[in-house]
Amino acid sequence: MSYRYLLRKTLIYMAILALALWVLIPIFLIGISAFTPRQELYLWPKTIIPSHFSLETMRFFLGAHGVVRSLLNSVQVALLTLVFTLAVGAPAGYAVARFFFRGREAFRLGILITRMFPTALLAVPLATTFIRWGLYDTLVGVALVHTAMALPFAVIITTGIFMGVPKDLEEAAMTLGCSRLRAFVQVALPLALPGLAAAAMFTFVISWNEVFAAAILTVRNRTLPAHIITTIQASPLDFRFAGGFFMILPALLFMFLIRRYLFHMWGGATAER
Amino acid sequence: MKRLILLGVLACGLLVSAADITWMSTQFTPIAEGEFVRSQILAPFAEETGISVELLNVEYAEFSSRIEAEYRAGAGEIAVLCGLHGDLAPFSYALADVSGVIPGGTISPTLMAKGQMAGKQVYIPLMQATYLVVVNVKALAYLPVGVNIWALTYDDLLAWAKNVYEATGEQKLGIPAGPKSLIHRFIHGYLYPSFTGYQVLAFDSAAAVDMWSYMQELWQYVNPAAPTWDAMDTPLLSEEVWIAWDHTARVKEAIVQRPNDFIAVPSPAGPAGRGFISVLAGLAIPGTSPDPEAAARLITYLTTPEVQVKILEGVGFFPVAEEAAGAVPAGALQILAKGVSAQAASPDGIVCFIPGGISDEYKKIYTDTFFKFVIQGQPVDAEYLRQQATRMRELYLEAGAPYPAPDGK
Repeated sequence: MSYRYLLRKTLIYMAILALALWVLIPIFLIGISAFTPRQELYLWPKTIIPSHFSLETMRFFLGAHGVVRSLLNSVQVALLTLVFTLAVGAPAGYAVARFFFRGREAFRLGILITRMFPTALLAVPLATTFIRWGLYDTLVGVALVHTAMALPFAVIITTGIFMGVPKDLEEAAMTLGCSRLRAFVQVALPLALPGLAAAAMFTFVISWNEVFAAAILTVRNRTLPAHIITTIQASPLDFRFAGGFFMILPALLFMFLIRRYLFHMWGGATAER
Repeated sequence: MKRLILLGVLACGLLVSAADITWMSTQFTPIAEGEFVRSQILAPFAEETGISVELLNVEYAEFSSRIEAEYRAGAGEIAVLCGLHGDLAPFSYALADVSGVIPGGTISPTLMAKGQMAGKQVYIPLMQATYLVVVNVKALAYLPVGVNIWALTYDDLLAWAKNVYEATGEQKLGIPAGPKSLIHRFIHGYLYPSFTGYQVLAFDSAAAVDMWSYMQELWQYVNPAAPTWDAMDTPLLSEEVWIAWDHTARVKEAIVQRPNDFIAVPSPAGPAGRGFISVLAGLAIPGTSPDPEAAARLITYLTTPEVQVKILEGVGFFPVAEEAAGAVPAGALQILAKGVSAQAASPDGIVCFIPGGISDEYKKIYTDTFFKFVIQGQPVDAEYLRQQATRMRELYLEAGAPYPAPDGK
């Protein structure tokens, strides 16, 4: 019995380790290359650990035209997208989870249809419309497109979460004098927080990584991926590693910030039920 | 706290000031080139005129979508464009007529004409690259009597290579035919137009049969190592060859190392004219440009001889302004630039563009034919040429691509 238990534990941990390495090794390699002295990047055979760490590549990257500004733009767009997506997505998810209305299933499926159209196909009409509406080359405009891309995921994730929050709790709150809104805000929402955090993470990453719409809809106010995508392909290795590192870093930071809400989901909320 | 961070980030974005005009370009994309153009070319322009220019490096997909979108919306942010001929030509309807813009230097009518389509001047040429002939000065002693080295013909080349062979016993003519060479460019952009007047349309003509027979004769005097060479700089430096044809970038190193030993001259002319490839980049103003006047001033500035020389030094593209050829600093670049502008200004020139929008199979059609007739020396077979010509036309039809100049005109 204990032998089998041990074997199972070992296998699970090995699987976890393999998954972790699968994700971490590329991040590790990009990170370490971004801080390797430039000449050493071209050495053959390659050394995994550089002889010393150097900020030369990073300084060159950050000093390059428009990088810092586009980095700030990216953060703004991602945060705006987050706000828009949760403001629309969470209530939508709640509605789908709680209310039975005609066409509910069709609606749930319909949400996914928005993901069917490749952005490249929409580029020209989208840009044309944005120019007419005065949204061209604005961060709000890019955030709106990213919101449209992230919404289906947000709605699907939050629907699942609100379904997991027992309806009884809300009803109990309402019998004790809460309005529907207050019951939602004070009872359902805190319990759904972990799921909302997951949806937020997803949204942030979708916005952060999106290139095409951002590139086509902005001229001067570019996001980081839009700014470096063209340059990076025609640039030396060191610049590519620095660019790659900067694409990863903020998403990682954001995940660390939001991590405790996720733990809450696996620890607290489930145990209480 | 979080709200404060959000507000701070938003405020930072608003504080960043905007540039005066935006210049969208498919060129200068490598980071070093972009930084060079911003600091060495656009910064002095801003000081001189007070117009600050934001260079926007983009890929072709973005370039084309944006031009199209701004055209449809009837308004835009892009003041001026830079692209290769093939990048700009499809958008003649969306671009303003720039015939009123005065270039900063003299641009030859042959080059200017390339920017004319749909009844207007769609772009002003900015810079060029090409393929030409580099000659070791030792070979000049064997030049046939009465031949002008600046206006060679393919017959002159044959006689010259023959002279060298008979005098030295060595095959001193070099044409790169290695696996990574640009031999296909020689065939479709130099031989074919010079002999037949077309890159594609006369693939199996009687003139083409004559051309392949000529190549069989010429090949006797080409160094037998040619099928192993990808670039001609090394064989020129080792003096395995004295006369070589290749891309400017692939012969530059030889001239840089020994500028006193080499000259660069135009490629030869055939019965139909002097076919040569022009890799031509131009400047255009979209019809929706928010500031056409500032855009015109930028175009004038970029085509001045001084700026053209800077572009050559920093980016490696050759000037289109005739005065610039003389203003290039002495040494390797000047030798090459002289050859490039002499070729561009040839009165019998047939300017060819690289085929675009079709599968790379077209290269194989040219090189297969070359290997069959020239390297393997099989008799020139009109039936084989006809088959290859059919396949070539299919490629253009399948892709719906236009024939490249001179065929497309």
